[in-house]
Amino acid sequence: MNTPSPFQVNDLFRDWSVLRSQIEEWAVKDRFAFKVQIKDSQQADYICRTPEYQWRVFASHNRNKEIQLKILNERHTCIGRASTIREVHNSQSWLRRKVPEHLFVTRDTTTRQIIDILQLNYGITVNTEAARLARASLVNDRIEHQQEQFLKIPAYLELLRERNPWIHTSLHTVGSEHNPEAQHFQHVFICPAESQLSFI
Amino acid sequence: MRPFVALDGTFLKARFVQTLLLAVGIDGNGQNLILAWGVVESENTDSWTWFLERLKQAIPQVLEATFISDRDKGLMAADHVLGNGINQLICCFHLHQNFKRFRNVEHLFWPIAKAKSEEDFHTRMNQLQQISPDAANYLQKIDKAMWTDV
Repeated sequence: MNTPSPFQVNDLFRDWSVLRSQIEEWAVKDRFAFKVQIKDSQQADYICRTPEYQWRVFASHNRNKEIQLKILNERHTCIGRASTIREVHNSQSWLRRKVPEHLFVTRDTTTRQIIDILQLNYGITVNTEAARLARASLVNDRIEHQQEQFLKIPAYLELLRERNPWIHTSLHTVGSEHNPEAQHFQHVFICPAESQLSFI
Repeated sequence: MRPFVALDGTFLKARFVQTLLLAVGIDGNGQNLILAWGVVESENTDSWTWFLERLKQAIPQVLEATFISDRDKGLMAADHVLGNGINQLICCFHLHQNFKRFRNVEHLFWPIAKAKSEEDFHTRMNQLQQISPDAANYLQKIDKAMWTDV
C-alpha cells in the first residue's frame, strides 16, 4: 500500500545526500525500487526501476543555488515487481547508514545478526551477500576509526601532563618508532597526582 | 593499619572494545580512591604485569599494601612484580559468585567466610563437607588466610 509521500514539490534540501537518503527511507518503507536517471552537480532525477511505471522525483538547483524538488510523481505501482537484489535495503549506502543505528558492529558480529536486526526493525529480508559486504565495510571502518582515535592518545597525555604536572602517565605502543602512524596502541596508564598524595 | 589496594578489570563495551584495569585504594577519610587506571587489550599476565609495574613506579607505597583481587589468572601470575612484601587477599564477593555453582549450599558460604575462630571455621566446613563434599573441596583448595579471618 502506498504511504503518503514524505515530499512536496518545492521542498528544499541541504545537500544531495539528504534527498537521496530520504528517498531510500521511503523506498524501504513502501518496498519499491528506484534508479538514478540523471545525477550531476546541478540536478538529480530518480525514477522507478521498472521503466513502464511513473514514479519520479526530480530536483535541481534553483536561482538561489538551493536544491529544490521540482517534479514529484508519488504513485508507485511497481511494488513487488522490482528485482529483490536491487531493492534499496540491499544497497550498501542504506545498509551502512542503517545497521549502525541498531547494532554495534564488531569483528564478532555475524551476517545473520545483521539480517535479523533489520528484519526485526523494518520487516525486510536483506540479501545475505549484501549484509556480508556491509558487515565487512563497517568492521573496516571501525578499525580505521579506532586507529585514528588511538593516534590522538599521545597528544591527550601531553595535555594531561601540561595541566597536571605531577600526573604519572605511560603509553605502550608497538610498531615503527620512526613513523607514528604505523604504531599500534597496546596499553595506556594514568595515575593522577591526587591519588599519589591521598593514598595512605 | 596497612594500606589497602583493590585490583580488578572490566570490559569496555562502548566504542572501543578494550579492557579497563583499575587500582582502588582508601583515602584519609576512609573513602574509595581511584589510584590509577589503564586501558589494555585484555586481562592477561602481560597487561597486568605492565600495569602493576607502572603502579609501583607511580605510588611506591603500594609495596607495603594489602592487595585484594578476584583471583584473575593473569593478575595472580603477575603478582611477582609487587615482590614478597605485599599481603594478598581474595575478594569474598567474587568467591561467593563462583561458589554459587554448588546448589543448595550457597547459604553456608558467608558463615564460613566470617568465622571468628579456627574451631568455628572447621565446624562450619565439616557441616559443608557432609552436605556437599565438592563444595568443601573447592573452598579447602584456597588458602583460608586469603579469604577468612582465621
